[in-house]
Amino acid sequence: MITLEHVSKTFAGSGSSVHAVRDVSLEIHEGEIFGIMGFSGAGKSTLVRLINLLERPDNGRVVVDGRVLTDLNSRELSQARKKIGMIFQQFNLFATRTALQNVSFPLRYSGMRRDDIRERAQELLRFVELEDKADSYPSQLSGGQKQRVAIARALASNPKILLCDEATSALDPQTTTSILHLLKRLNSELGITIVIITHQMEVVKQVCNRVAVMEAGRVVETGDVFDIFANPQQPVTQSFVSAATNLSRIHKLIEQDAPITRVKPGECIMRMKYLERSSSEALVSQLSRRYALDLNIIFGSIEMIGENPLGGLIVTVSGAPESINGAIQYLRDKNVEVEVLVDARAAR
Amino acid sequence: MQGLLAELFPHVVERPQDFLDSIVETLIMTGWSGTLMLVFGLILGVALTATKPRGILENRLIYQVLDKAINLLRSIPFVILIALLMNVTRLLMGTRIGVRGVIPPLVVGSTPFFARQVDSALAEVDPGLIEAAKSMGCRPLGIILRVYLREGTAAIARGATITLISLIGLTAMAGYVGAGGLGDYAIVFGYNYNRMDVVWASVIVIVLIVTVIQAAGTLIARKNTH
Ligand SMILES: Nc1ncnc2c1ncn2[C@@H]1O[C@H](COP(=O)(O)OP(=O)(O)OP(=O)(O)O)[C@@H](O)[C@H]1O
Ligand SMILES: [Mg+2]
Repeated sequence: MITLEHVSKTFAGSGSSVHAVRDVSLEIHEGEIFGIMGFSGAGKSTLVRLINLLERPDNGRVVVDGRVLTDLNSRELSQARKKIGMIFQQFNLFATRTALQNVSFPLRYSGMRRDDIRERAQELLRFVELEDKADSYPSQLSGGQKQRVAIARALASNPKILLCDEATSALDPQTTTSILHLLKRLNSELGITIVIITHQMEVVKQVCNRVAVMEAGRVVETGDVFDIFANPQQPVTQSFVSAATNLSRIHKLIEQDAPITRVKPGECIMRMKYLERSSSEALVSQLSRRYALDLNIIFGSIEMIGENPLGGLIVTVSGAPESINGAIQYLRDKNVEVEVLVDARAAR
Repeated sequence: MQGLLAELFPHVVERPQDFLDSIVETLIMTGWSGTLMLVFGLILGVALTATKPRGILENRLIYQVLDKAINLLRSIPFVILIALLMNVTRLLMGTRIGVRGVIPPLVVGSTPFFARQVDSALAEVDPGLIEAAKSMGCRPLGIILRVYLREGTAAIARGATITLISLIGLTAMAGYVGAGGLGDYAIVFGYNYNRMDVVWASVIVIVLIVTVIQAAGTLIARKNTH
């Protein structure tokens, strides 16, 4: 649906120039919800603006729905943009127009009859559940409502793609969730391919199918959201993922020598991380029964990545050394990642 | 009423036609040059905004020329402008005196100021809106008409108010080319003969005109702010 081939974008700054996007190639499939994450300044906004050519790449090709956008003249490009909706962090609604007029904006002067435009705009407002706000001005709407109007406006010309640049970053968590639900609905009911830029891990976890991670203008890692979360390869990705789960807090606790992290001789603390989808076996009770071990859960964290649980446990284990080793092997066979964090087994 | 006026403004009431003629002259000068100034200033202001670096029709050359020309014209004192434009005025209007003769310098004198006002009004329009309009497939002309001018209406109205009011100030100098008007009337019939009632009457009418313009500007600005 969207193909970026070796696109680069450099901004000539005062003195030095900024390589906002460096040689990025990316393939986004029809019907998926694709996330682009990265820290501030990584080049996410620039990358997404290259998709609808709000920013023209210095080199490389942009192909959207079979058309090479980088080869189009400005008139053809304007036409092509109508099939690529876009929403923004700051909503960008026209302050002098009501919600209904905002939604009608892309339809006016398009050859459509006034009555039809009105009807279509009302239908779109109904879709985003804001029909009662048709005559309100943006200043009279809440952030979530503004973003709904912006979504309705972006949908007006029946786009096949919706680009979202930090669309939920200015919203509170509850409103974020409701906007994400709406995006999911667009995706499933209207079949719209969605590209979501965000630095909010929650957003990626809740709605994306695949994700690309950006750092310093490059896409450093791409993949299935679950795989990326379960098995982050790059340091940036790891810091994102660990910032999102509280399993990493154990390192801090160990450093600070917190009481729960102190072990007796013969014990160890290990982290068990589920790498498999839908792993909901009663691992802890199985281990203690099979290997006659005492397992004390220090803490655990399970998160939903889309429909799949991802997470793990941190446990203190005490028992015979061979039993502990056997248990570790058993877990690894079950595709559970095991990492021994504090080891006092030899101290017995 | 009649008696009171005759008592307060004896010299005005004595020759009412002169007073009325001056008012009409001021209104005609302001009306014509104001209208032309609004049209040209709007076009130039939009052109400045559009051709500016990173503007929707970025064009270095046009921008630089406009920018410099506007600065140059703005720095010429009005009285000197009248003299400088003498030949142009005669060419355009067929005469360089009277109400007709003063309109070209008034337009040239006020348009650059208004163009700047428009430019800064449009600079206040959130670039995010331009971005959004582009993403919806809007072309440059559409962006100018449907986004810049529409979203900038309130600020443009405020700029127009200021410019029109200062234009009225300029018409006071129209007497130099025999165009008359209230400023001329106040000096020639009033001040020079020490008839202060004439000066006061002129001031009152000018204040009234300014008040009406200010009220209209404020109303337009308010109607376009949501
Ligand atoms: N129009 C521009 N002119 C100059 N530099 C720019 C421009 N747009 C972006 N940049 C620079 O390009 C780099 C990438 O910016 P970009 O906005 O794409 O980052 P981002 O990942 O979206 O960051 P954030 O999360 O803060 O929005 C930054 O260093 C930024 O300063
Ligand atoms: Mg950004």
